[in-house]
Amino acid sequence: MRYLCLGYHDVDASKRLSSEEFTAIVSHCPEYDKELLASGRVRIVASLVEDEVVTVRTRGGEVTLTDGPCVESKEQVGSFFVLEASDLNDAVRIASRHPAARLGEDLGWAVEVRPIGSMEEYGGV
Amino acid sequence: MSTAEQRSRAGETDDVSRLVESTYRTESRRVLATLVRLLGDLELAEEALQEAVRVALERWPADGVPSNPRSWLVSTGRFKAIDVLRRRSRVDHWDNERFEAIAGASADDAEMERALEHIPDDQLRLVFICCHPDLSQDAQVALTLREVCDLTTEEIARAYHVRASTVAQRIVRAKALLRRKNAPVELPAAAELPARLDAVLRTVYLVFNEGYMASAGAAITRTDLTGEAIRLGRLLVALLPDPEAYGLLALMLLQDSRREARITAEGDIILLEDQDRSLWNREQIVEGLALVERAVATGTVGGYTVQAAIAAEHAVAAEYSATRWARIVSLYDLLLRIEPTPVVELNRAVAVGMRDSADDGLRLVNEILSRGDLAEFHLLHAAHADLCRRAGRREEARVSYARALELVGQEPERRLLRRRLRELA
Repeated sequence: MRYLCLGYHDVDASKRLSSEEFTAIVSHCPEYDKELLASGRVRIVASLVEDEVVTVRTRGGEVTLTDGPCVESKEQVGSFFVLEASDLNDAVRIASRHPAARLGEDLGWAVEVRPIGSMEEYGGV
Repeated sequence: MSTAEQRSRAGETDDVSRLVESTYRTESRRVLATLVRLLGDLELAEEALQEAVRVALERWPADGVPSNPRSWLVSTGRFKAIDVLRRRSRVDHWDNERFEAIAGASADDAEMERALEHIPDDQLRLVFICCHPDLSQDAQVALTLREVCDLTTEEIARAYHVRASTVAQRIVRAKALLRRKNAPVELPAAAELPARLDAVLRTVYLVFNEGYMASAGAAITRTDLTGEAIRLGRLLVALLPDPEAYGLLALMLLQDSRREARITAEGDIILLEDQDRSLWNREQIVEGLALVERAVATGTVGGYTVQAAIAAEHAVAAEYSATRWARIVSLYDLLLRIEPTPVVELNRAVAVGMRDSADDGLRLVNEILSRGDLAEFHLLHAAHADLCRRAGRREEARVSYARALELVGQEPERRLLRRRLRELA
């Protein structure tokens, strides 16, 4: 089974940190990201640029853009990874070791684990 | 390289990955059980097993399959766990302590050999860990199915008609509790095992019952669960020859032997009296009867053994009218002494209704009803209705079938009750 793991954080809480503090806590992530990739069980791991989110919709046949994420919430997705796990608890176990689930208690850090129904990958021509 | 050569290489790789897969299927639970003991932590053992399997998939195609794959997986898993802990010890104090304990212990070849001698004990202990007395029954069942039977969280959720996240939560909480209790480290000593066997047997029987008589949903049986329960029962008998372990396995086999005869092609229930007994599984019956004898021969007779002896009475009756109801009533008398519960009392009342008359059975069922026991149990009202019907009290029968119909949760039973009501109209 494949699972999409979304790393959430509280945007306001993050803004209250100095940039040094923010960099210090986020610096824990790359090491585990590397570990995940080395384990062969993670296909992709990514962090997101959040200030430039736009949402695209078609309304009345017209494509419209709105600033910001599709769902307005104080918790926003800051990173994601796709992992291969034997079942939901296996996925939870792997996700729970990620700094996004293990650290940042005051910053609203959390990992949402979503089973992937179907996934196509570009295999090259 | 010719196309033929390429194909043969590809074929070899396929063979190796098939071999890894089949090795995983046959060995993974044994390897996990031993890793749990060596590492003292369920989750770390799972991770170690996963890592070892991944390395096997990488290395075996090139290096060949090791002569003792089980020992290879255990020792690779152990090294992988040390790797994991070395990384984590930089972060977590807890892991640091564990790392010292595990990495500090020497693991030469001789020690690995000794470690593998304990596999049957390890497996048994894993069952006991999963049925730790401080865990809720739901958690015991979920953990046993996942860790011992290797069902996935999603499969367990489907089998019990609950959300996968519910099962996942149960398992996460159960593991946290086991870790707090240090359960995998402080395994019950051999002398304590029989005392904790009750919880294990109950868990296995719960799994069986949910498979044999699904409490809710469209189908009456879920053979995946009955199959797992019987497999667990066999494991228990092999590992811990306790009379009640024999009794439980016998009971499950004797009940399951009627599987083909108890449902129509449309999924309707066929009652014992109407079953085609030639469809009963003779192999399971023979095995079940022998196990009952073995259990009885030990001289200590428990609840599962008595229930198995009752099932055995049905199994040996050539036809329904040949059932020895007097013996069944005496067995229920015995069971009532071991387990004085209203459910046993109800079953005994039904048997009395067969041995003597419907009115005699009815009198006993009315006693249970008047006490208010099992008021919400649909089978009490259904039994009352059946006895009233046989005693010619049609109106009372109708009321009780209607009450049973309100309480029933399972579709085939609902159809049976509706059919009875129609017959009375």
